[in-house]
Amino acid sequence: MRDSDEETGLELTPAPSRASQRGLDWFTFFVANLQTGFGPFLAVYLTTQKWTQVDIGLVLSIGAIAGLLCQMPGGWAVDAARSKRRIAIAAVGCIGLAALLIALFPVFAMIVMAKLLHVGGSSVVGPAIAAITLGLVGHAALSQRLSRNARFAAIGNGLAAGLMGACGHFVSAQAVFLVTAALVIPTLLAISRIPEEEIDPVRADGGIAAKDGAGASGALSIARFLRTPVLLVFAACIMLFHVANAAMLPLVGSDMTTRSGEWATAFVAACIVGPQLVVALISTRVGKLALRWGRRPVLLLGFSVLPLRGALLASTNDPTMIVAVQMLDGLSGAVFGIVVPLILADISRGTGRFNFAQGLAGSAVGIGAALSTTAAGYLADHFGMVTAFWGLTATGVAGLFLVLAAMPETKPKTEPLRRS
Amino acid sequence: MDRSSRVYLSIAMAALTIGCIMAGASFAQPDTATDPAAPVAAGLAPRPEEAAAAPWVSKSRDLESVLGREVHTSIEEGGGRIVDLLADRDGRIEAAVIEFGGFLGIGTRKIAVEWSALSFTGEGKNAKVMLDMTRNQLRRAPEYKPGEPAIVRKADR
Repeated sequence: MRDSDEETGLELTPAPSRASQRGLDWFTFFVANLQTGFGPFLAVYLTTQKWTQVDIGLVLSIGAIAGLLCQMPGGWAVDAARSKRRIAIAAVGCIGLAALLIALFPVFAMIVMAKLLHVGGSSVVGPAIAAITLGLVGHAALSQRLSRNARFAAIGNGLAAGLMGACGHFVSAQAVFLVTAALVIPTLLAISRIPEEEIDPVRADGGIAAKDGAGASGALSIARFLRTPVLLVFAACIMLFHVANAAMLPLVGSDMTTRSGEWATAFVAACIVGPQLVVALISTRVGKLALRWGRRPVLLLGFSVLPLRGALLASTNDPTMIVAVQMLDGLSGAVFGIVVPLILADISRGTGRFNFAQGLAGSAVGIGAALSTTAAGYLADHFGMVTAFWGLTATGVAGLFLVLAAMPETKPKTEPLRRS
Repeated sequence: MDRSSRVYLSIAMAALTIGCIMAGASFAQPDTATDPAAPVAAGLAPRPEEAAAAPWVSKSRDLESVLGREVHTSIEEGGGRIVDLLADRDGRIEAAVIEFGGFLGIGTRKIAVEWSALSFTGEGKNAKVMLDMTRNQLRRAPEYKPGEPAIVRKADR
């Protein structure tokens, strides 16, 4: 880790301590760990607990709807919170409690409660990480620090997917949630390394007045912020991206299970873990490009890789080839992890609504993902897997054109150019 | 670690503990409507007021719960799991829905197999559900979709 980069050529950039940089590294790492078990794996666990398909479907639907509804309030709450650290700690506590409830009391009411706790916590912890980041380093050093976050989150995601997948396979499904609950402890230890006073709460919301003590009351009203055209265009771009993206991995997964015999599980695992390694490898580079070229070219890169991946998946049957194509997911993943919060920070600069903007983006992701699985599932059932992949590809192309046509460069002209 | 963060840590820990206690208290009254094992349990141990209806008591462990059981194929390890049962209009169980494959829940597949292709062996801890099919046959079986006519994979005999 080269902390020295932080000091080069930036007058307005605060210099967060080494301890808080490290604390943020590990916080993003462990939060990524915490989220692994809550995905599709929950359905597998509930099956082992003798749940009926109807109840599992109901709980998952409740979770999905609540998750969508929580996004914007979650972001709003992070903007409103005076201490970003405290609200992050509370959110992590909720997620840990949810894991514990799931592991110990797999009855309907408890699982619904756990699901609600989890979506509530998640809708806060995502924006809170970005808020703490912005509050620590400021706008000028944001791209660099976001790429460092993306690297640690990717390592966390990849490692947790591998370990928890193995844990679920060889130990028990319940163990996955017990491990998740236990991971709350290192997560909280990590955030305790970041001193409260280094996180400027106004800067963390994207407010301008970092010095004169103007609080969140100085923030732009939500109604007015929502009328920012770039914000709405960007949300539409994000939604289209996820309509094209979300169903790809599940389709690849079930395709693999049908096709590749004993090795199916290993191939699916490679499709999940591999892209995370790619993100970890390239995130620094992507962050630098966003600074040197601007956001728009990098965003276009991410958006063009997606339909390419869809087209390649539609045209190949070979499992090894599919795993290779899936690595492209790492490229768009890195772009999304870094450039999306960066653009949101650009758009919300001076409004004090950075975290609300993230909640809005989160809603766009959620709606897009829900549409994606429904539409792709329908296409796959009625017209076959290949048609489904082409449908996703077409949506990806539409997203690319929307970015090309309507998304301006958001990088402020005053931001200093830096070389490595 | 500074003082304030220790305070937050202990608050978070306290919240976790309280949550567990609350959860434990509400678990004390389990919701029978959502407990799939309840009907089976009732069959094994009839309540006293029903004794007049000449209950039928199963021998030792002859009756066992089916949902969530791991399914083993003749050659390979387990990996499948019974997630649903399909009955005809006379209430006869004709097929079992088995979910298998996947990693962390991604890439799982459900198929319906003929009920008679399953055999239940062993007792207690050694109880096993065996499926008379190879994993390759399982893979090629058409996917089961709820709400559509089930395509039941027959055992090759």
